[in-house]
Amino acid sequence: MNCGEVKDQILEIFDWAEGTRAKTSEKLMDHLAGCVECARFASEQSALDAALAQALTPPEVPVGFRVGLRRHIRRERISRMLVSLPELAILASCIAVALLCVALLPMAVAGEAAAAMAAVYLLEMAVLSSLDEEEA
Amino acid sequence: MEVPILMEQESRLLESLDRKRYGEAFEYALELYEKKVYRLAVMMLRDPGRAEDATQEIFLRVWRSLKAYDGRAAFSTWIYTIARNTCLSMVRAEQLRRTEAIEDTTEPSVPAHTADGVDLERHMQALSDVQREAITLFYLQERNIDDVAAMLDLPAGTVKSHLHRARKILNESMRKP
Repeated sequence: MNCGEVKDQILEIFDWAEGTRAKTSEKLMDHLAGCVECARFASEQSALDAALAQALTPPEVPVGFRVGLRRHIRRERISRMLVSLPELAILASCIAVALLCVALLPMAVAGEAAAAMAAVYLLEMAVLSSLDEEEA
Repeated sequence: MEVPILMEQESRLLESLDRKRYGEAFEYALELYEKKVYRLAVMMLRDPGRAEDATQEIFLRVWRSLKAYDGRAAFSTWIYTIARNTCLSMVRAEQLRRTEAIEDTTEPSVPAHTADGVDLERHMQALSDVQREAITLFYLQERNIDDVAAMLDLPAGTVKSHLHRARKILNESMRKP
């Protein structure tokens, strides 16, 4: 192993998780034992790694983070519901008209068609005007 | 072992998305990525308080757009893209604000001195942006190169070579008086 390869391998070791660093090869250790320059490089890299690990300690997520996030989500859910309320009202009116039509149909069969038609007409007008108001 | 647990949670997350159980999927996403996203935000914004706000915004965006996730990219790539874009918007907004304000109150991401008196902040200035980001994230993400690669949208090999170059540059910089 030449010095260049040894230095590359030393740099590689610092990429490993701490638990696996003991797996350094015998060849590397032999080289370090006999090469002052590489031993110095290894010791400097080790000091640098320790300094970086100390300065860049992984921060923990603040304690109230999830509570705040869930509050934001709840607020957004409510505002979404409020936005979709008019659409729900229109849908409910349409269902009501359809149900009334079904209820009034036997009256039409019994000869009271005019009254039934008038009732349906009035309901339809009410729904249409509410739609117009929504669009306005 | 932590890794198999994480892989199991990741597969549960994808399964929930497949079954359109978005609430459940969001809980798994929060469990898996909350810490990593927060640390990415700390690195990008250099301020833990703002990083918390950014992380809230990131997860709100994730919650809003979970239905739109189509599985073309890995979930981690998707969430880190949202995280990076959100942080970049905040950085730009801050830069804009600072052009109007006189004082710059942003805290440094790296403490100025370690306990041994090493002036890391000064030595880190010798690095390029990507080298500084790679080495900062490497330590903030507990030496996980795959996570750093996904966060920077770079291959793991490229991250390693940035780390090696950064270490050499820092070493040379520290040798100088």
